[in-house]
Amino acid sequence: MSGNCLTPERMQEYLDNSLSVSEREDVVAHLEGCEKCQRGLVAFASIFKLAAGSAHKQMGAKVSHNSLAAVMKRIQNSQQSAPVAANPGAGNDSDFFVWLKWLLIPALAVIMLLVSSMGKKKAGDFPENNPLQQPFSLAENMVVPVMGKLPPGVTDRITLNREVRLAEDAILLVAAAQHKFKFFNGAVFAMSQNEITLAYGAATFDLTGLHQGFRVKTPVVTVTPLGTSFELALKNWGAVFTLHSGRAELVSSSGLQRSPAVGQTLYVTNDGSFSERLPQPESLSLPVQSAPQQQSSPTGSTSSSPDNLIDSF
Amino acid sequence: MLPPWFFPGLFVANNSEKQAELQLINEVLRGNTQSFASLVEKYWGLVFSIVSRYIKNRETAEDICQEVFISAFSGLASYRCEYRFSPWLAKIAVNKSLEHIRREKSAVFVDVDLDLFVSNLPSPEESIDQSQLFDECLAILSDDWQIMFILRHGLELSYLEIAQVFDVPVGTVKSLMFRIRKQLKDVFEKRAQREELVLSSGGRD
Repeated sequence: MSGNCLTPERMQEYLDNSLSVSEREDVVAHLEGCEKCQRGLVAFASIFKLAAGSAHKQMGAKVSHNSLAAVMKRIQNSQQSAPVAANPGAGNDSDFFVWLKWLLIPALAVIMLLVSSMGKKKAGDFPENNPLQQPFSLAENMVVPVMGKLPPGVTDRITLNREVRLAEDAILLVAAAQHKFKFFNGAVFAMSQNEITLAYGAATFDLTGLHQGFRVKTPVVTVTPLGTSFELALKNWGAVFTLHSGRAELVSSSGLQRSPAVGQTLYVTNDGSFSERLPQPESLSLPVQSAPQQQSSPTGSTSSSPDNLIDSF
Repeated sequence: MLPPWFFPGLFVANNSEKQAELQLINEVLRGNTQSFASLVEKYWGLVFSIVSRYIKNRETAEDICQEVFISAFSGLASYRCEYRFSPWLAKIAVNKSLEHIRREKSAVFVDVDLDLFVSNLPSPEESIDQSQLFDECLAILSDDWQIMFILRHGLELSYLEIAQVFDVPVGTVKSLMFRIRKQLKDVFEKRAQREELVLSSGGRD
């Protein structure tokens, strides 16, 4: 078999694990019948292995006691030599200058804030020329079925603004930009440019790159994450939110706001109130949703159009 | 239905490590400077592997490494937790090294000549293991390329993160790295052929 042999780039993409599911399947199908490509792939795999071995060897240097001590000493010295706030009430001859300094520092801080908010780049920002600073978008995404079949209508990516319904026993991983989302518990969701609407089921969210403006909306709560990994599960009485890392701001359907601590689980009931404990049955309001299999849309709409799904929130 | 934590997957493992790292960074920012020692211990190898590519004198390289960590400490407040710490630190290491040698960054991505590789190969008669041969081939690459291999294969940074470290387009990193790997593969295959030839001619004698 040589007509559609794998290019060296394709082989490396395969080893880099950067192909979509269908592309990967194509590669595997070709490899099964092509010894030449099998040999090529093995050769590339050995280069990858040697590169990893070499890199780990290079990174193996341990910090010496002297170097570590030197770094820590310099850090401590720099802290000690840093301007220490003088006691403004000490009443010596230089009081005027001390007070002047106390007045000038906040003023300078305000000016610097204004300058930075005018779009001037902060010197320490990483990275200065960050390709991630392009407009955030979930459009370029890739799906990987972790368990079960791909949802109907989904091949290798999620089409924006289209409702996706997962089978109860399926788990779907969606990678977009630098982020990973895992949907399960029969999740019903839709994705727009910078927003995920979760109408049913549960999902985990792992955000590791720029995601300014990104939000997760559910019928009972909207989550704005800030450098975050979290888990969100919808129940018939509301939602359960757990923050694994970073920060997140939650606004419930009744307008209440919360910023949970890392590791904290918050319960949001259908009436939009927050609780740190699992709400007791008598305090729960009527469910706003039922299993999607029992109705054509998780929000009660008879249409499966994304507009209905999103607008109904 | 199995619970989601039954499928740890990629991001559970990454998260626990990232979370521990973020905790250390938070402690440092709250004033516990001793926590910074843990970051120095963890990342010294990475920083030294970068700096020593540019600065061959070991003592000077160690001094620059110290500078890198001092800079990282003083700039820690500007580190944004949505990014990984290692590429941020790698970028400081690259910049500090270049600052030290006052080299133009345009030297990045010096093209690699396969003939140069081949001419530098030890003869097949010489006893050399594959990893030694690989290191020798890698040493022919420009400093930046060697660092990129370390970042990609040692630290498993994405092409995007590597592009951020060097301020170059991600496509450039990806396509050129593909080409270098292809050339390395060709070199190893050529050497294997030469070894076979030597063995077969030796057999005839």
